[in-house]
Amino acid sequence: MTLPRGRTGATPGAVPAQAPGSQAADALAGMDDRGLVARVCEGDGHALEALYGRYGRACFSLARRILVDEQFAQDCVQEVFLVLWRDASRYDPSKGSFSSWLIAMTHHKAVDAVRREETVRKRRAAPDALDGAESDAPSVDDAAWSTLRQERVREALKTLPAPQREALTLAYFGGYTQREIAGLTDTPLGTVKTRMLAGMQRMKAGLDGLSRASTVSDVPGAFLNGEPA
Amino acid sequence: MTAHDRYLELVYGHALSSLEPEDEQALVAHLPACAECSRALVEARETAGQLAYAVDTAELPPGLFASIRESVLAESPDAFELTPAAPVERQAVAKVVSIESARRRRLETRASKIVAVAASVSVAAIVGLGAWNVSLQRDSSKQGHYSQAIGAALAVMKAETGQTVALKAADGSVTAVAVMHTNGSMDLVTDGLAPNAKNSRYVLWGQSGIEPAVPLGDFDVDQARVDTVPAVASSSIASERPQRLLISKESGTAGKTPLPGENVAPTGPIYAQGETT
Repeated sequence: MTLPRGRTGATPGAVPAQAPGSQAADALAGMDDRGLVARVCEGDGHALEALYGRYGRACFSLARRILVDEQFAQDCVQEVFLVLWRDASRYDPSKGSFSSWLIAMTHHKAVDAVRREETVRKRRAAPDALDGAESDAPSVDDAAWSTLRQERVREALKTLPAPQREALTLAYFGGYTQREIAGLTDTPLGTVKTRMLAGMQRMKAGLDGLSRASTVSDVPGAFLNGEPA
Repeated sequence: MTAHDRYLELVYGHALSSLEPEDEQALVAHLPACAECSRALVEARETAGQLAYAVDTAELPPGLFASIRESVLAESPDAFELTPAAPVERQAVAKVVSIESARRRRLETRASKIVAVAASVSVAAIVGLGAWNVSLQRDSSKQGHYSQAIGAALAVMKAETGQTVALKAADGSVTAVAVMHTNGSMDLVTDGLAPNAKNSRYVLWGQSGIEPAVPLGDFDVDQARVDTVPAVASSSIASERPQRLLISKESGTAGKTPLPGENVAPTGPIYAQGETT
């Protein structure tokens, strides 16, 4: 998919935009994720803050989506970043990007909390819950890249056959296990598993190039300020 | 579907955190020997990670990082004193304490901790998904949910030869699992206990009925990750199998916290406890 011209204002080679933090954290804004993680391993709290500024919103947005409750979502994010602080060396670059590692940890903890706290079970991820939703906090500082990515991911989800999309959204955003999804949808467990596999493979194909891109300039066919990246 | 296709399905189910415990275990056991599935898992995680960006973007609560910062400072008072140009040299060493050795040394020389990494290395190897990947697994004895990383460590320790006891924190989360072997020895796997300061140690206590708790062994936690404490206690310490296990944090360095068998009571906060029956 070719990105529309002129939709981005990102500077080539820039790292993802992040919320402003302390001056010291801002000074680290140009460092890549691995560099910041290395500094966290060395005990640099400013590096942790820089990573929070970079990914905190994504983590909180995801946690809030899954947990619904704002306080639970805050607790989840706090726990994630404390784990990062205490054991940043857990991150293994050979197993994927830092962002996916952090998001995966957030997702796991949020799903764990949902499954543990029966009283918080307001989940629900109706398959169409993501359709047409507007961001509730468009930020001037939010890189157009983030908006673009959101659109691409939502588009990719929409292209999935309904049963596959349903399986993915119930699992990822609802925190349901495959067996629970089978029960909810009155579908054999094996079929649920197959739908998840097929759906994820289609998502991967649809998001090809997006997953490992950290800036707009990394995305195939991206345009910056009207010019090819 | 081939037998291997089944594992591929499990890979994507795992990336979505939707596997049943038995499927999670099957995948953990399969991954170390399958490069194809390991590669697929990396891709699956990246794809799943993108799903997170489909949700509505929320404003970060104003005080959230302040809370994180406060917790960090409680553990590392100088964490924010450095300028970005002045890196800190901090040794992040995973340590496992062999309580039996420490007890012997304590009796002889009152030395401090022993570093033993074999158990933690085996934990990392068994958790083929990466030591950082944690999801829930139901305890077959229905004692509670404990992490997959703990489950993997238990597999290494051949927990099936003993009784596992889940020790839970106040919020109900399982932060440690004790393995009580038939020969009277006890191992401990912890996950998530906060690192203790140099002037304190964690103590494992055993209690029966209304009798006072008896210290069984003590250990350090350097990092809040899965850690194993082999032989944290032995049958020579407790005259009978305790009905309850507790973990507290006591002030004092190695050799100065309650010694196994000493007639003392916990004075520090209780971080986890569990029933053995």
